[in-house]
Amino acid sequence: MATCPEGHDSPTDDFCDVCGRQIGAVSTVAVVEKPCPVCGDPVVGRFCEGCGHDSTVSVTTWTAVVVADRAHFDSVSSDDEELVFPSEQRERVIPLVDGEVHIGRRSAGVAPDIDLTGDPGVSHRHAVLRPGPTGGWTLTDPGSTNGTTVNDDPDAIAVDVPLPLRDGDRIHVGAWTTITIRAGEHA
Amino acid sequence: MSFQVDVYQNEYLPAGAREVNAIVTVTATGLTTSPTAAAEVIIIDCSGSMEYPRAKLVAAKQATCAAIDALRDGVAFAVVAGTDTASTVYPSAGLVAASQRTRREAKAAVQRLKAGGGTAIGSWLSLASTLFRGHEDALRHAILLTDGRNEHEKPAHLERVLAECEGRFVCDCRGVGTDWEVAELRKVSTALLGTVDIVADPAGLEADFQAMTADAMGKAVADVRLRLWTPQGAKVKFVKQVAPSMVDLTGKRADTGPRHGDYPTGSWGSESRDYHVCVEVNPASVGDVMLAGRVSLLVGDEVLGQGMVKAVWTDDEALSTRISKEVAHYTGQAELAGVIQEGMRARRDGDLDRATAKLGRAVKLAAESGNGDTAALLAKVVDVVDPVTGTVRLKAKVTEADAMTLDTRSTKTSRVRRG
Repeated sequence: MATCPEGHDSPTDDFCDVCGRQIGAVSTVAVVEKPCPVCGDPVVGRFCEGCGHDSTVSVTTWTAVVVADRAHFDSVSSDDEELVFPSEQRERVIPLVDGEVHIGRRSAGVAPDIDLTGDPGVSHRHAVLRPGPTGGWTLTDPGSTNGTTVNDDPDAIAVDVPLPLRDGDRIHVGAWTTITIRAGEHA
Repeated sequence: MSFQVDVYQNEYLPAGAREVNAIVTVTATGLTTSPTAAAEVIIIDCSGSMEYPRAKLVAAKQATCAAIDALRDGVAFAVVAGTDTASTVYPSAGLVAASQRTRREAKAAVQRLKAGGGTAIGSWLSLASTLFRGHEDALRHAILLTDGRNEHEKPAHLERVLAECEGRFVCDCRGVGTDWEVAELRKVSTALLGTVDIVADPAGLEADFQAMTADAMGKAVADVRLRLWTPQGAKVKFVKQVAPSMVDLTGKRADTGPRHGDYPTGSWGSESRDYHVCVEVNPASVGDVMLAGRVSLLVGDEVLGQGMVKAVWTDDEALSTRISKEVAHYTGQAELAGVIQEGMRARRDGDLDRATAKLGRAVKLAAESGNGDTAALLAKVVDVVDPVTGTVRLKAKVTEADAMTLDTRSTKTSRVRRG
């Protein structure tokens, strides 16, 4: 027999069978909300208020993980350049929702979706991620100054040709930036 | 088998608030495939009006035969003819197990039926209830077909019979033609936890009877009860089934203890239903968590599923002002059913301004909630000028069948939209 904060004896040990008070806990329960796997808005119930996604239906969500990549930096920089690998490394996770996701450096106050301002090797309009025809995502380099490479291929991808992306693909741009594409099933 | 119970609500309440709303989705899972004992009584109206037009009785006979054919072997069944009294058509007494022979004999007996006499639905249900005696452990289902008003017995008699039959069996009601009373048949189907529908054209009866019987044969467990526990000092404002159709269960509560009571939900197959539970509790202090309701599904004394409705008081307006999408959707569907019934009543009474206002509101609600079926039925009764504002004009010419179909199906809800 449990005893509730009000002193009632209760055969149920989660909430008091008499007054409904939570047994054992006086503290407030944390907000039960989690980000929507589709649009990222906080969701409390079954359906996302932002996009209407049903939390009981599993979906494949795509994210871009942006890091300053030492290996990439070492492979592209030469000694005579005065480039310094950023000491402050901050990983950024950007959910790919829909529409175009622009990768580049800020210019004239216009910030791209994946803002790589600070990496001197990145063009203002460096590359674009777009939803592919079959549900995945593609990468297009519209003609950046230094090009874009993917995974371990040392050659830059062709200009203006969309490249279908897969889970785990690493996009290398600029002097040190690697963007890893993640596709995962989420409920 | 078990019932999966999912609760959708915004449990956050502003300080001092009392009312807790939740949508409880109950899904039956893991049903046994072995057939369950079942009993079926088919009641057909054989009043004199079934001959006018003659197609009605012919179609009713065909439909009854189709229903008989849809019975599983071994299901105990009977056919009842209803006039101003009730008599068994087949077998001569009690129920008989369905087999090739009994089905053939029953169909032959049905073909010999003649129309003549009045309509006394209470006496028909009384006979059905008697026939089900001794089959309490089986799924008990009746089909009732009528074409007219309950003219040959006092309304009080029907009320008394319904009270006696409640919980004894589930009854799906069908009105054929347009001379029957929607409210009257709805009263029967609501009391007996069944459906009500119009079959305006007798030609549609056969398929409908077949579907109804198949549905009844698909049920696996009878007499499922929804038990609601609420804390001391709480008041249950209402308990409604809100999907697939609107059925107010509030008045059907049977108290089972100091803080809990049972609501009947009838028989279940592989299906999912939504319930709206509204409870008023004594507010606790900000930061407190309270269990405002515990919903259990029971068969006999066995609890086959449970869900919790909570209340958390908070100072954070961003949390407490959020409206649960599920609660909002079904609150709208309940209003939709209400305004259609009020609008159709006003239209019959000649209060055209009120009818236009109510049905306009219905058009707006149906459009907003994506209830396309109801929107299509409304469009047969009103000309929709603008569904967004609910601007409508009453149609000058509306067939009785369209008007009655809208009224009958007003309680059909659309399920909350899946993203």
